[in-house]
Amino acid sequence: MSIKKIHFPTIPLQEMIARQGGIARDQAIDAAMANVKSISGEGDQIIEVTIQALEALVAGVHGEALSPDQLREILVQADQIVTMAGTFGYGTLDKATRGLCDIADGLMHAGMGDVAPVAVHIRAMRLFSPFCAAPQADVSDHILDELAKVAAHYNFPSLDTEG
Amino acid sequence: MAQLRLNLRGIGVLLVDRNHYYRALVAQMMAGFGVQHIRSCDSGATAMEYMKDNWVTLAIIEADLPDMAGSDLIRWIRREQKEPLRFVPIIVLSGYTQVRMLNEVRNAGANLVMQKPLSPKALFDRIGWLGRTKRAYIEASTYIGPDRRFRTILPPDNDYKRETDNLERISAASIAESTTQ
Repeated sequence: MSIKKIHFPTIPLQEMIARQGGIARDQAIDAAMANVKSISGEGDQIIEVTIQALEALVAGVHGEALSPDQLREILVQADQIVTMAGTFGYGTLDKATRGLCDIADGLMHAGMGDVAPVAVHIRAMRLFSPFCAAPQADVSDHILDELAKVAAHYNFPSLDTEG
Repeated sequence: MAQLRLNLRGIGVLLVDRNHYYRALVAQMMAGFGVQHIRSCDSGATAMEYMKDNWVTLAIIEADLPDMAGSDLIRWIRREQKEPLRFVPIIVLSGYTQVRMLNEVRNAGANLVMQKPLSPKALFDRIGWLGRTKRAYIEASTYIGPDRRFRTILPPDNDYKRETDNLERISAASIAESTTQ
């Protein structure tokens, strides 16, 4: 690569951020946290609707193989649940949904369309969803252990290790 | 000791993410920081349309948009736009399934990459780092954007630095970890 130009252009953000006044870090973070909390209820609703969409998608397959488009759709939906679960601290839902992402991504790259491993992850996500009574810790651990066995069977790489 | 303050009033933030709720979430964080002008877009095309006629001081873009890759939008900003928009600081947000796209967005000219979910603390600190750290821009035939070799660049007074900037702490932690294994 032949470099044409290296320079320090004027960045308006840098000029504006340094102006007098403004907000202190703790005050800004507290205000942002309060704002985020004020819309957290809607986040639970979105998780619920997204899990329902995943359940409907898998139910519509009727035992046939999932197509690459369907797996792609599962990844898009599941990615949103991972983000929401992480934002609001739903640890078990986060783990189960990351597992679904790993399985769906692995199936897609392997040219496979197995429904069962996808369905079992979505069933676990339903159990861990904010509108269901949370299972006891040992039950949750058992469910996550079983999902880990499914992952071990397929042995797809985790998206955590990619990038 | 008094905390440093960031003045984010008057800056224009463009937020591009396919998920309307996540856009709302980040917008709420930004509002908490004092940002008054936030424009949300759900696709690359709407973001491009908006940028043709509007002032943007900071862009926050999802790595994978419904109609294009985030890297395509970044390349368009870096190549097609005039100053100062051409050099607007760009933070890329990556979901769990988008990690493979991160090299692509870095090579397209993103300033920083952050993995979802975002915490207000991390977002504020990254904006502070972007706003207070001088970083060279490179214009070449195959790349236009901030210098990608920036690990050792710190803000002037060391405040709002990234976790990874604390090289002493990290190396001490990795030594401790290696000795316990």
